[in-house]
Amino acid sequence: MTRMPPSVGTVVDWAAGVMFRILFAASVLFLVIPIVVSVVLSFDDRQFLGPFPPTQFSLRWYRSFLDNPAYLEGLIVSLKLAVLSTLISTAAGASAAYVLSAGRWPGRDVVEMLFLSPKFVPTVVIGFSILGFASAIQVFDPFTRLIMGHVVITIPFTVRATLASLIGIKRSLMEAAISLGAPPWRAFLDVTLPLARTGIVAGGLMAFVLSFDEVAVSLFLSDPFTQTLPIVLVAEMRANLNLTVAAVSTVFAAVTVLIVFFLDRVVGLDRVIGQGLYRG
Amino acid sequence: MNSSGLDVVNVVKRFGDHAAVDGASLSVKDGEIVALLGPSGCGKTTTLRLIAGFEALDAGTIAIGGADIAKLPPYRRDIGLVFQDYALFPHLTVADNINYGMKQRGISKIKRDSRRRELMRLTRLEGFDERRPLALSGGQQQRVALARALAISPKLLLLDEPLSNLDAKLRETLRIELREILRGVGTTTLVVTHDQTEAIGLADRIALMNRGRIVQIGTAREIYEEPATRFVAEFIGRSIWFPGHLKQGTHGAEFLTDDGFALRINAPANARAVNGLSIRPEHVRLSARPNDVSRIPATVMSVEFFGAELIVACRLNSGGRVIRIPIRTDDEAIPVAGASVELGISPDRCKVVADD
Repeated sequence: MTRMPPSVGTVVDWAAGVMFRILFAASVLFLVIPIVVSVVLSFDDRQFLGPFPPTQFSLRWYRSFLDNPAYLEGLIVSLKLAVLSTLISTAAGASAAYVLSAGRWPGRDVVEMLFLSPKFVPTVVIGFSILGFASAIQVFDPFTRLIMGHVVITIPFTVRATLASLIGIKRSLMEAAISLGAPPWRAFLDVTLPLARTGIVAGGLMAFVLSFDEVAVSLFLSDPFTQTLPIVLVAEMRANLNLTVAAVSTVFAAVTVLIVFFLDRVVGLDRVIGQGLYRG
Repeated sequence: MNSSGLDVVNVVKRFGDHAAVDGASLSVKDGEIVALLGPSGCGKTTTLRLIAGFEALDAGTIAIGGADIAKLPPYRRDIGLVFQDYALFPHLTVADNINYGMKQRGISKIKRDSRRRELMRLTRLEGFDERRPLALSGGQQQRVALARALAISPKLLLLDEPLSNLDAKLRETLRIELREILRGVGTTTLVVTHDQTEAIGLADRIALMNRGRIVQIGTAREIYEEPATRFVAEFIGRSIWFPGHLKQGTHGAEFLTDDGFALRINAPANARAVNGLSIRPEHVRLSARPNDVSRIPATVMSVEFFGAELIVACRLNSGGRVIRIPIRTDDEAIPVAGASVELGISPDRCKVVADD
């Protein structure tokens, strides 16, 4: 018996398997390991940036983080900003997605493109443009400016995620509710909103994470008295580089992971039911 | 005027240049079941959406119980609608689906529960209260949709292709079941369908629609026996169509077909432009009786066996056209291929109509 030459399919499968392993290794190497290193370093007892791994551990950098009011203020600004801009972006994005999915009208694609465009414009450009626009309309409050900027950069994500979930909802469901006596707004609240919830929450989650660690736009829109945590982090790193930065990064990462984990449990559970909903 | 009958008068709906509904008129009497039957694209679905209020009229009137509803928004029309895909709310239980319309009307929980139980008994859904719609079979889903539409005690019930989503085997049983439920409720009902069996099986009368207009309304039998146009004759049942023209013969009215036959007809030639004659294949006799006045000499081409019936293909000696005639398997004389026959046609079976 001669051996069969490997078929094209087998070769492609094999190549895909190898590619996957390489990508996986690369993401561990460049994404996970640096975070682990920075988490370990944040517990380093040494006064200087010594070679890895640390020889002694302590919580001194966390103490230094809590002793520096700039970090705490930055954290509070970042959280307030992320919560507010997520709420605004989710409400606006979900409404926009609803209008976009409701039907076809002239210019619809252009409007959709406009809502998604901040994704493709460099954030530096967005930051500078909003700074100029804010002063043109006499808005000088940095927090308001930051909200404007963060809503703009997060809205493509809330629009996209909501659009994706709205596509799965049949038009006849709304019409059924209306024919049963519900005015359109009521039918929307009773039918469309519960069925689109997965997408809306997912979009909001992305918006939150995006806003929470945004640097470029915030750099333009903040002022010395209202700074987000990433901005404080960058400034401190420039001024006096010590391992407080590692401690702050660890807290920062932990907050993000916690929020993602918490929301994913809510959304994740919902999605299990959600798939059952849209099937058939 | 009907107490809660439906009157659709000269309704027009245009999409751009195309008139999807082009002056359609029909009425459904109080408590009557009418099927709106037609091929796909004939405008029947648009008509249903106009009645339900999801499309705005361009011209005409729609009235229920004599009151014009064309200006009312769809949620104030009191029309129960059963969608083709049922459109059950997937995130609500069967009970909440049925309750939905009653809740919108502010009906008390006690009344809601008793009405729901009554409807669930009627539609044989007892015990399914807490189920999700997608955990039900197609037939059960349809009954939930029906119960939900009936829960609001609608003045009019609209059914959009009610059986098209169901398994072909189940369709027959479910059609009979659906008819019994509709009869029991007694609500004025309009069924939109493209399937003549569905229309005949469910409705008291059938409104046949073609190219945005209602071409004929009547009982299934009336439409079958007296088709108004060639379209009707060919859409309902089978038809043999002879193009030709009318002529006043020596013994009465005659129809001269283009392939050279003179067929005696009964129907008086009316003012309408008649340019064809329709006859049901089962009304053509394979061997003419002595008193048949209209005879067509033909040659048997083939005989095909279809269980209960045989289909005899005959070539007409003049013109060479082949027509297919069904005969019963237990008929005495089954012809053989190549045999010469004289087809007999009774004057009262010949329907002269316009080719539309």
